[in-house]
Amino acid sequence: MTSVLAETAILAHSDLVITSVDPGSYLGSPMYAVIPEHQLALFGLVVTILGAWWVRWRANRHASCEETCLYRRYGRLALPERFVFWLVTSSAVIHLGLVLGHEPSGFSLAYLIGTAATSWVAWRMLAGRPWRRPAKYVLVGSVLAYAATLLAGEAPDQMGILTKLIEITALAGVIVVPASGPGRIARSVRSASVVGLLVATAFGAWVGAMSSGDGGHHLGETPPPGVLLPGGEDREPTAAERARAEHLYEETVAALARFEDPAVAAAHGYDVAGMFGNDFHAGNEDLKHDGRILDPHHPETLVYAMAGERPVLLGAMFEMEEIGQAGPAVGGPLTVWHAHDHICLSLAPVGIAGLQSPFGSCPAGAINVPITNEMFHVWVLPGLDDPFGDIDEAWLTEYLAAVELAG
Amino acid sequence: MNHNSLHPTVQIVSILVLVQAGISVVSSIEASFATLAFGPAAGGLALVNLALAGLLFALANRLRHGSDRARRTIRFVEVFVIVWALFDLALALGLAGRSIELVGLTTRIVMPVYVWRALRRSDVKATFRPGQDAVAIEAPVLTGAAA
Repeated sequence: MTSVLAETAILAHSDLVITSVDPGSYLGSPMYAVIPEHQLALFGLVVTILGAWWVRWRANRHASCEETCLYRRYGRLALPERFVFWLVTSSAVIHLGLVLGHEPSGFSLAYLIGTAATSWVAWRMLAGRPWRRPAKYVLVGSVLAYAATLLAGEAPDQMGILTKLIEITALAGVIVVPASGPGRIARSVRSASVVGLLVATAFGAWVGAMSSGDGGHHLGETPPPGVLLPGGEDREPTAAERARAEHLYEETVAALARFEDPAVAAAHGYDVAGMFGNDFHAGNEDLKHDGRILDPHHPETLVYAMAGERPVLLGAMFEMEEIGQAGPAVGGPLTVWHAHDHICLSLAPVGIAGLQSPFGSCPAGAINVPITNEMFHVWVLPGLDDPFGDIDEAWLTEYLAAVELAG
Repeated sequence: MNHNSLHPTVQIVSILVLVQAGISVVSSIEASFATLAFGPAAGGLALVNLALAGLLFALANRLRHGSDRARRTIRFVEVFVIVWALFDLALALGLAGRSIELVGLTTRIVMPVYVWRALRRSDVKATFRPGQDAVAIEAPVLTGAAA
């Protein structure tokens, strides 16, 4: 235990004196959750799936009912058409759930239009009217409209992404498996358009999730994908918390000065090999389970950036030893610990391979690490506004350019 | 084999495999970006996922043309996907006390299980000629349904 910690109790997560945290109590990116306003839509989807089973059963029993009865109309659809019908109907029900789940706004009007358009397509299928062309326009329009709202900065959530997956799958059913089709090139273009819509949805989801976050290292902020914050609202630190934070910062700056030379860090067991980029984490396995917590003299990881060919020490990352252990926020809301989630870990070679895709998977060959232990950064660069939060990318780029220029 | 004689479930399966191929393309692009941010570990995965996407496109196409080999290969791939997903599910339950999210459940368990089960149904299998590759195999590109 360090001198910083010796002065205070373990003030985990700034307000409460706790030593452990329920992983479920973290706040993460909405991209990996169903937000409360969308839960009605999810309920509607479940009801639709149950309804599909019921209609299928009834259609088999009413095969000989009147010509106009709905079950008979449904029974006339070929199996792939029934598949498309239920996907389109699911989209309609989800959109209706979104209308009911939101306060009236421009978005709820858009959801209402989505409900009407997809219901219209489903009805045309049942009525035996031409439906493929309208279905194409409605489905492509719905997917592109969603991608546009994401690119404008709206945060995606699981329900939104699932709805687009349903619509793209329906579109594949409409354009890739028609009763009769055109030549090979046209069919290739159709398949490529399905892939293009998947890529557009994923790209939009990443942009929306990244741009809708507030930075994600202070209480009350919306974290970007991959970051977990403890719940709670931000507040002003007390004088004592501010003093402890300053003490921690000064002690860390002094203790880390020797590691400006990566060779010294390597001699102390830090893995500095292959240093690159603006955020290189050099871990020290010997310190990760040594019983010392938030010890400025023995940080578990050092963080470097490259200014041209020259490594620059950015700071230290302190880690808790176990998942679910709350880090000691000695400076209250100034020193909030965070965890990470949905990290993709490549197995060969071992290393971080990104974050879980909006479509729910890591790249084939990587496992999904659902949560990490808590960690906390102290940045030692001079001139930073907040030595405990995020480093502004633009500021860092400028700083590194100046260091490179100075030689 | 005339692909019109195939069980209609095969068309649904080929749609789902096409979507899976598209998701592999997305994964490949994401892994490429991850290489820039996190280092070279993801570089190989980008290539693996691109190859997987190509394989799935080809398999979806050959399946529509009645290839029994494609049917069996797709089932093998889906088993691999399901086992991998179950491993991730066990990790999520064990470490974080939660399940895989909604979209992941759909793409990694529901879709693969449907495809795997559909291709092993006896009435579906009966429309494939055992051991036969597709009669009119097209190039393994983004081809759609047969005319």
